[in-house]
Amino acid sequence: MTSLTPDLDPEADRRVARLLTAYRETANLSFVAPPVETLVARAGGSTVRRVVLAGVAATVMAVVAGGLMLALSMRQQPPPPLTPAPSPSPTISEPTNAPSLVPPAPVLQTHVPANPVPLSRTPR
Amino acid sequence: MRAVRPDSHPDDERGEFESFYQASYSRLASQLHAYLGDRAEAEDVVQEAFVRAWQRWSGIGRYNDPAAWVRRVAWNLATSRLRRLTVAARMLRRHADPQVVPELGPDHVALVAALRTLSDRHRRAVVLHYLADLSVAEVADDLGVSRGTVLSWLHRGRIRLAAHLMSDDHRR
Repeated sequence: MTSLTPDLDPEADRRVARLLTAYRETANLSFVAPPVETLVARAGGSTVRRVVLAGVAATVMAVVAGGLMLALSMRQQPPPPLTPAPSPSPTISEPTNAPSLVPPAPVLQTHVPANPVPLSRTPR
Repeated sequence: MRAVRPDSHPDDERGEFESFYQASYSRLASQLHAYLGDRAEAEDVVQEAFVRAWQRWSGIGRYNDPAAWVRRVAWNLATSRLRRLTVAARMLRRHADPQVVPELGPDHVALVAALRTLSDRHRRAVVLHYLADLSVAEVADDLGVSRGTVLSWLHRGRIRLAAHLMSDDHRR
């Protein structure tokens, strides 16, 4: 079965190991730490930057919140009429045949026969 | 964690931090340079990591291994810096005045160039193990993978480095 990764070439690998070792042991010599005062100044700058950013963020939040409140309060008011409402005419009178709110009283009907039978007859 | 004003450290804390900083800076910067392939960026992230350590030194100074904390912060910064190397990060560039420092030798330059041909995870494993002297177990813990995975990445990384360096020799 063929390996997916080729084997290391010993000579090349030795060179890699040599370079890595040399780098680990000597490369740090070319990096000089700046004075600690530089870090302190940078830390102060970071603090100031954080405070400024927090202030800006708070201001933006306040403006956005104020805008939202204003928009909501404007939405809750009724919209103004587009045309002036017509003034009531003084000549309008109540209709004469307006339906009455009081239901009509029931009519009592008594049955009256056309030819009433006399209550008393005298036998002839 | 409590953030401390930079000017509120007692003198003994400041002296302790300065000793730690002077002893650790160069090695960490050279490791991050090997990882990032950019000297200025490497120094910037290392300085930023030390700034954060300084702001929290009252707590971090009591750790068993404060260097491990700084290394982890620096590597996290480097990883995100690598993703957005071009734009905003350069605005936070180092505040230090340019200094005259010894240049890297040709072998170092060749190694850094070869490292740049590796994938991010292979390069990270190689730098942490071979340059930062972390054990395979520590690298595995740092990267959140198994020891076998780290061994595999180291193996593939060395193969790739060897191939690049040999072809580079042939081109010369």
